[in-house]
Amino acid sequence: MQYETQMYETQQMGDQLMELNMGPQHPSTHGVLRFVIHTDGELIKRVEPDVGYLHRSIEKIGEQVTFQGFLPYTDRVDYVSAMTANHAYARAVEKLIDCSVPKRAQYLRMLADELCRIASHLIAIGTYPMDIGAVTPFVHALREREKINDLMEALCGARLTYHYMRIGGVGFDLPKAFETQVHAFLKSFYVFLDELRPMLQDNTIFLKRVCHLGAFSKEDAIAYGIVGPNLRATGFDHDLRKNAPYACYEELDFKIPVGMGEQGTLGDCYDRFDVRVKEMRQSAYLIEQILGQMPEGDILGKAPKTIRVKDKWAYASVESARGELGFFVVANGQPNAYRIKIRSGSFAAMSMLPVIAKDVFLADLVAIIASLDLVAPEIDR
Amino acid sequence: MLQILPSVLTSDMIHGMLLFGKISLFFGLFITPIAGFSVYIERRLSAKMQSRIGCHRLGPEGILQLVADGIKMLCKEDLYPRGSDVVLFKFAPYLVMIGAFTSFACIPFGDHVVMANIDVGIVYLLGLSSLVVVGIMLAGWSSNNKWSLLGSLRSAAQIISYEIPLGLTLLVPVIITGSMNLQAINHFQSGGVSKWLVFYAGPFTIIAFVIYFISALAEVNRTPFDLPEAESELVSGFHTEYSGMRWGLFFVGEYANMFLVSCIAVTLFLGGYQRSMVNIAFVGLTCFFIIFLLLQIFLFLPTYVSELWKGQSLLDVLMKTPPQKRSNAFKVMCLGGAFVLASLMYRYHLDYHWIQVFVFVSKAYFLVLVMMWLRWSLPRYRMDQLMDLCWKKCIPISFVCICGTLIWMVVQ
Amino acid sequence: MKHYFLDIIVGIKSIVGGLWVTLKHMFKPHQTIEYPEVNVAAMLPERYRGILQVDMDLCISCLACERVCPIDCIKIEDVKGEKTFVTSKRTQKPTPKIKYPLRFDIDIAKCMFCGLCVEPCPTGAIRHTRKFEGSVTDVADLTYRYVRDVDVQLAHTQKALLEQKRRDKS
Repeated sequence: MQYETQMYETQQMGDQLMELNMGPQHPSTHGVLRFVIHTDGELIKRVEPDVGYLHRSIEKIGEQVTFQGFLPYTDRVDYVSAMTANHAYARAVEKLIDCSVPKRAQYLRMLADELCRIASHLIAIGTYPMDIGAVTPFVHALREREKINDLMEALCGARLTYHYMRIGGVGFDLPKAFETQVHAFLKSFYVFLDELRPMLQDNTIFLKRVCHLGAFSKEDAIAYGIVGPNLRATGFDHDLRKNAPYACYEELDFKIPVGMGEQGTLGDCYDRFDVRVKEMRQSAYLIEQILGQMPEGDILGKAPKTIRVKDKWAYASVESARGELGFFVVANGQPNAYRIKIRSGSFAAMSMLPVIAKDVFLADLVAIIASLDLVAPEIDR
Repeated sequence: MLQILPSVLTSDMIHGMLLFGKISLFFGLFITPIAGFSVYIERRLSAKMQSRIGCHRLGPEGILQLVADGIKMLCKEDLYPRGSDVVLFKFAPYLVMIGAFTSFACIPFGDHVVMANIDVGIVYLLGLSSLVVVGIMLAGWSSNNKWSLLGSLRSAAQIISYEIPLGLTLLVPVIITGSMNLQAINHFQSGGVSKWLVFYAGPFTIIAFVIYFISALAEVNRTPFDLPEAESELVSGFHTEYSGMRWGLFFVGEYANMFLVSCIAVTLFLGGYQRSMVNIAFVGLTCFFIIFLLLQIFLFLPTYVSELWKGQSLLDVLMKTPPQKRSNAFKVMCLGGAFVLASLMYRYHLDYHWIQVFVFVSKAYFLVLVMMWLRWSLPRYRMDQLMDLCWKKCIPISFVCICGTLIWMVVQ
Repeated sequence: MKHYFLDIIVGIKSIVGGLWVTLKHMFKPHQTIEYPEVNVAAMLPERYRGILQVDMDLCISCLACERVCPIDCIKIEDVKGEKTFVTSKRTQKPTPKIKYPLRFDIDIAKCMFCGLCVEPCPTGAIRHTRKFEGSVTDVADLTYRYVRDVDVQLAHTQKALLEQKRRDKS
């Protein structure tokens, strides 16, 4: 479609174009990504993403270790929001063995998910202004993320690779005084969210850099398989927590923020930023509800010690910070899986880049990459 | 004394050598430490704005960090990229430094504290700032690196465009005072805050000052106009391929340039070194920092001396002494003492030339701090928006300012 | 025309708003924990998954941790010996100890601190500490060997006792 016209045009222009390499080591690509850019001066005519620099064969490792042993590896699939990856894989294996998860465990899973969503979005909206030039919001966002890290440390013992969920439930119950800690965090978090408005969202320089940039329509997004906040910024309110609810989300009350095109075009970089900020607010509200409604009970359901299932496959997905993170698990009677396939939202988002980054400036390319919230470990696995 | 020198030296040559010595001392002991100190202040200031501590470990309050950075830069390998034009590569940092440093020759720091009281001082300044552009373009081209080339081209376009509003707004004080001699402009502003040129023609001179400040930010490649050295896109722009002391020269040149444009702003708009009530505020703040630093050094000395006495090496003592927090009461006392000192200086008409220099440098440094504040709060403009700002907004407004000032002068 | 001036005024107002936020932050206290002076290990929560520690008095060499480790960084060698009882920390009940470890090595360089070995341990011998400073100068020092001379002696003693018992029986 559009890609063919791009190829034709660049062939016509030929050697007038300058070939640049936004290489794997670069201060602004989020992780280790490589883009081969053909530019005409400062205007970009063609972008080709090159993946594979962070490939750690996680899916292959899944065939060597047991089902329970693979859970710590799922943290590393998307280490920015590791709980959701744990959750998706645990749900897939629970579907495989038809294991039921107690209610308290579901609530704890939701709590962990929402805290992780806030943490991941903090990185997204922290690195985005940093790529545009304002360094201070990045440090403020990371300061808030440190508090979430402290909460996670109290909950499960680790700050980045949590390994909190288990097959059939969660690994640890809430520690003492956790609720007070969470409320203290939320208090300072609301202050941070309110500060974002004068610092960034109303700032004329930021708006000039960000509005009308990299817009794509709802139909294009669905055609390319985009999920998550990128899709919701185009105006389409698709969220797995509402459309295919899992883990007791139907008992909670929340709204799905959708891009409204108030500054600039619908579906541009500003909308993606705005959707993430609003989602953080919704997540904070969800956390308050979860803590208020937490039921009593077990935290781990009945799951066999060695999981052996013959000739069965299962797919389960959760709404991670970057969209639908899905795990497809195939078992053939061994204690190891036969095949594990991971579907991540960033991979599809990156395939959208050559389409929307046409005839933009070099500085805009960086802004578009940051607004799509690409996370390299999720792309390369 | 002159008899002991060999007879082949004429008095002209001796004069020349003495002048050369004076100038080198001035640059080495005055401007370079200020530029270096700005680096330290920027790190501490940016840290304060981001809820963290800056560098405060090496030496009392971390001031020896500069020395450590300087030594590190000197010890690094002197690289130049393969395929680069070596002569141009090595020459470029010198051009940037020359452009920044030699402009200090005509700035009056006190009543008779000026190195060269040039009658066309403003033209001299504008001319030398264009040398910086040549340096940057040479650096970008000779790096044999497409990203550096992009950065240097952007910078060249930016600096050349913003020289126009810079020149136009610099015309406003020239029109008001009728002379391009910086010392004469300073004398025009004597007699308190109301005589400052920035308040001379009502809103027009204030807007001229703001436009000057924005153009100066663009001249120095500071955020929000730091696209040439945009860290997230071009790694470091035109100075990506420079390492060690060559990069150090660019770095010091940039901070010296910042200090230079603030000095010009203070001379032309904010009253120079003349005595006024507002000086108490600026001098007070500077005194506070100096007193605080001196007290810290003084209070650290016993720990250092006792450690050295025990037999530890100097490097160990400097690096491993833990920093000590001072209470808020201590800081408030320092602040109070500094303001008392500043008011005494004002009250007793202390107009010695070195106090004038102190006043001038404090005011100019305050503007440097404002530049740093802007850098850490604002995102950066994209190239075409930058140009749009210059050609469609700054230049028409500076024309309006000139006309407004003229009308004001005629009406008054 | 009006749009031009409105643009400028709105721009200046928004920039000043952003500057005000940064200025406010200058007067708030910093959030840095100054690490070597502050005892960070004491600030860590009890569940913190630090470097592993094995209490050899409690270990009954059931090899559950070795089997479950996904990276295979635990290596245990044991001998069969005379049965004794150790009081498990988990259940507070006496647990029989038939095998005595001669070698219990954990390669901390490979360990990913997932906690999978801590959960199936019946006596609570292997546990996470709050230690996180593990850097050494030689990579070979990163293989932590938990078996002490006392345990080796105990293993040999118990093995001799068991052989004695078998010879007595036959």
